[in-house]
Amino acid sequence: MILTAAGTVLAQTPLAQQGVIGTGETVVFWILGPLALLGALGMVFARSAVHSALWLVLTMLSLGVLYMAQNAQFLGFTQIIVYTGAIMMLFLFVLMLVGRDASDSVVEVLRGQRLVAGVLGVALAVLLTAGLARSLEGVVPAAPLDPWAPGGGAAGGLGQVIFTDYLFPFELTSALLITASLGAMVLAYGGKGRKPRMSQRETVRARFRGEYARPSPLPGPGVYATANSVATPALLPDGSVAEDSLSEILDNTPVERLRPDREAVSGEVESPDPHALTGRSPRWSGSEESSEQRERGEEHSSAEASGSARGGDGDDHGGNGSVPTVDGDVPENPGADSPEEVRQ
Amino acid sequence: MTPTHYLLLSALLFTIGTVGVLIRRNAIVLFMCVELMLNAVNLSLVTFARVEGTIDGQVMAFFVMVVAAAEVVVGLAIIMSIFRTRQSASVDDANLLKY
Amino acid sequence: MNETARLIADDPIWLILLKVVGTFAFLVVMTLLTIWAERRVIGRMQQRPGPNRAGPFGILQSLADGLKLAFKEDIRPVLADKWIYVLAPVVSATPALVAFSVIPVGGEVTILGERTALQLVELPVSLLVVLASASVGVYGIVLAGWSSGSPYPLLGALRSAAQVISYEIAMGLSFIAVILYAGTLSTSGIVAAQENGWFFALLPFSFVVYAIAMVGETNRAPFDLPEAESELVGGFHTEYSSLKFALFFLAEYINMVTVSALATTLFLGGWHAPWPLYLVGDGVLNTGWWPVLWFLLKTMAFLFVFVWLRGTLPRLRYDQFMNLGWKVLVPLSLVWICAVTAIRGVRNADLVGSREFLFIGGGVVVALLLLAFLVPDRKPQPAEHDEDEVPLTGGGYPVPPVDLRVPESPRGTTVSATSGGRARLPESGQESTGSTKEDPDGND
Repeated sequence: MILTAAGTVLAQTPLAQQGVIGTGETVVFWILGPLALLGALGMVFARSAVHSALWLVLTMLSLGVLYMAQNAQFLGFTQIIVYTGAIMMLFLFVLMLVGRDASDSVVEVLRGQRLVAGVLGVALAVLLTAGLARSLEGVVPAAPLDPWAPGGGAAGGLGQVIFTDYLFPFELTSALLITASLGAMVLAYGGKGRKPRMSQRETVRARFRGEYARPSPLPGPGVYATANSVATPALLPDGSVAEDSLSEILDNTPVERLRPDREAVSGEVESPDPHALTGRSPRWSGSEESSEQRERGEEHSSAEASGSARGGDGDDHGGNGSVPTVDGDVPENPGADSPEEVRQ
Repeated sequence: MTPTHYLLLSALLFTIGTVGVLIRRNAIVLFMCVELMLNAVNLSLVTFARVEGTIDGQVMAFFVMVVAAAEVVVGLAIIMSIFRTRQSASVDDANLLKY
Repeated sequence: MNETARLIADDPIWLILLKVVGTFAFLVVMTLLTIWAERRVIGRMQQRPGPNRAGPFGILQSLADGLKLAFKEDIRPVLADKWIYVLAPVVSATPALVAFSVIPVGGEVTILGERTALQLVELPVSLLVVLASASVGVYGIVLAGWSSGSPYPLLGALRSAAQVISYEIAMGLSFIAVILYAGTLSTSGIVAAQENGWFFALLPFSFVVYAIAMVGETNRAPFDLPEAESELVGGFHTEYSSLKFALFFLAEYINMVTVSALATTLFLGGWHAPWPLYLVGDGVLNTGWWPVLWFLLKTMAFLFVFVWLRGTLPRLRYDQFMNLGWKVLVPLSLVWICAVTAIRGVRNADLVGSREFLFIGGGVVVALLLLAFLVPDRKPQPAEHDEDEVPLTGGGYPVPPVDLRVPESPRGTTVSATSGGRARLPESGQESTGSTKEDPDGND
C-alpha cells in the first residue's frame, strides 16, 4: 500500500518538469544492470571468499557507473573511490590476512536452512518486483539538474546542501567516523598490553650482549662456496664446516625426494631432446640404436662416475681424456671411444 | 525504459543480498552481503532523487556510504579479533552463549 | 557548460576513436622513452654511458626489452589462483590508461575540419577520474600479490598497497586547495583558472605535498622499498614473467606519466605557455597546436625529476615513509587547507586589500624563517656508558686483538701447485705486500 501511495505521488509530477531517458542511458542500463546482478549472484555463490569479494567489486563498479548515468556524477565517483577503492580493499586485506582456506562447510548446522532461505529469497524478490512494477507504472523522471551549474548536480550542489540543510547529520557522521576508527584501533591493538618495540639500536645491543642466540644472522654458503645451492655448507676460515649453516630441513629431506633432481643435475639420465617431435630421444636414430646408445650411455656414466671417484688428481689426465664424452648422440667411431673411457 | 527498471534492479540486488546473509557461513562473506544490501538501497535512493529532480536523495546516499564505511571498519575489526582468539571465521563457531 | 565540454560534446565517432588511439599511442611511446631516458640519465649521473647499442643513442633499447619480455616463458606457479593471476596485471594496467583521458593536452584545435579540444573526456568532476583510477589500480597490486600463492609477494603487495593508499590521501588533500582556487573540479576549468597565475606559485605548499605524494603514489624511489625489497625478491610481481610482467612495468610507467601530466595541469598551468612566451604576438603561442609543445615540455620536466630522484636519493625505510605520509603530509595539508580557506574568505570579503595582503604574507614567511633559524641545533648526545661495557681500543669500534693469528686458507694450499700461492691469505705483512704489488687483482 505504501508502494502504491508512493507510485501515485511520483506519477503526478507536472509535465513541465518531465525529462526523457535517452538511448545512451538505456544502453548503459541494459549492459550494466545484468552485470551487477551477475556480480551479486557470483558473490553469493562463489566458493572462495576472495572471489566473492571480487564479484562484489564488479557489482559496485557497475553501480557506480549507473549513478553517473543518473546524473549523480560526484556520487558515482565517490562510490568508486570510497566504496570500491577503500572499503572493498579493506575487505580484501582482511581476507588475505585471515587465510585463503576460510571457506564454508557443506554440512548445514540448521537443517533445511539453505532451502528455506532460497524459497524465501525468491518469494521476497517476486513480492518486491511485482509491487514496484505495478505501482510505479506511469512514473516519468523530472528534468535533470545541470551538473555544470554550481548549484545543481555535481559536487557544488551536494556541497551546498550538505553544509546548509544537512549540516547536523554531517557533523554526526564525522563523530561517527572518529568513533569507528578509535574502536577499530582498540580492537586491533588493545586487549593484552603490547610490549613496546625495541628500536634498532637496542636490538643490536641486546644481540651483542648475548640475549639472543647469536649476534649475527646464520651464515650462507659463503665466499668460498663451490656451488650455489643453499644446501652447500659454509666453510670457516680454517676449512672446517660451519655447523650453523647446515639446514635441518634440507638434511632431513628423504633422499628419495631429491633423487630425480640429483640425477638430472649429474647428467646420468638422458633428458628429452628439445628438438624431437615425440618424447623419445635421440632424434634421428632408430629404436635399436637408441637402446644401444642408452646402454652405452649407462656404461659411460658409470665409467665416468668411477673415473671421477678415482681421479682426485684429475688435472693430469685432463689432456688425455679430451675426447668429448657426450652420451650417445654421436654414433661415429663408437668402438674407439669406449675402451679408452673404460680404461680411465 | 523508465526509472522503475532501476528500482527493480535495486530490489533484486537487495534480495540476493538477503539470501546471501542467510546462506553463507563465512563471517566476512556475510558482511559483504550486508554491504550489497546497502548498495541496493543506495541505488534506489539515487533513482528517487533523479525522479524528483532534487539532490536530497544523493545526499542521503552519501550519508549511507559514510555510515557503511564506519560500520565496515568496526565490523571487520571485530571479526579479526574473533578470528584471532577462536581461529575460525565461520559464524557457526561463535556459539558460546548458546544454551 | 564548460567551453571544452561544449567543444568535445559534438565529436563524431571517428574523432573519438582517433583521440583514443592517439592517447594510447602517446602513453606507450612516452613509456618507452621514459625507460630509455631513465637508463641514460641515471647512467650519466653515475658517470657511465647507459645503453647505447640498440639504435642511435640506444633509443631502441626499451623496444628490445619489450620484445625480450614478450618472448620469455610465461610461468604460472602451481599454487597460484588461475583467474586472478591473469586478471591482476590487466586490473593494474587498465586504470592507468583510463586516467589519462581527462588530461587536457591542448586548447582548441581543428582536426580534419572538426573543431574540438585536445582532451578525450570532460566531466564536471573529471579530477575525480584520476583519483578513482588510482584507487582501482591498487587492486592490481593486491590481487597480484595474493594470487601468486607465495609469502613474499603477498607481504610485498600488502606493503605496496598500504603505501599507495596512504599517499593517495595526501594527494587528494593537495587537490583541495587547487579546487578551492579554481572553483571547479574539471581539469580544463582548472587549466583555464591559471591564466593569471600558475598554482605552484599561489599554492606552494600544495605543490610540495603533491610532488612528494606523486612519488610515493607510483612506488618510485626513494619510496620504492616494497619493490626493491632485498632486490632478489621483487615484491608483488615476483612470480610474474613475460607479458604479464611487462604489463606491470607498463602500468608503473604510465602512472608516472599520468601523475606528471596531472602535476602539469594542476600546478604548472597545463598547456599555457610560460611567462615571456605568452606575451609574444598577443598570445599566438597559446593557440593551435603550440600548447601541445608546452604541455610536453612541462610533463617531461616532471619525468626528469622522477629519474633524478631515483638516481640521487637513498631509499627510505618502510616505516620512515609511512611516517612521512601520515604524520607529516596529512596534518600539514589539513592546516594548509584551513589557512587557504581563511585567506580566500578574507579576500572574498575584501577585508584586506591586495598590497596589504602581500605585506602580511611576506611578514608571516619572514617570521617563520626567523623562527626556524632561532631554534637551537640539537647537540650530539654523549655516548652512554653501560656498566658492563668493556672499554675497547679503537674509539669504541670493535678491533681484533693484537695477537690474532689468521690460519692458512685451505684453498691457498690446493691452488698453490698451479698458480704459485698467490691466492693464499697473507700471513705476514711482507709477503702480502709483495704479492699484491705484483698482482693487484689476485687472479690470473
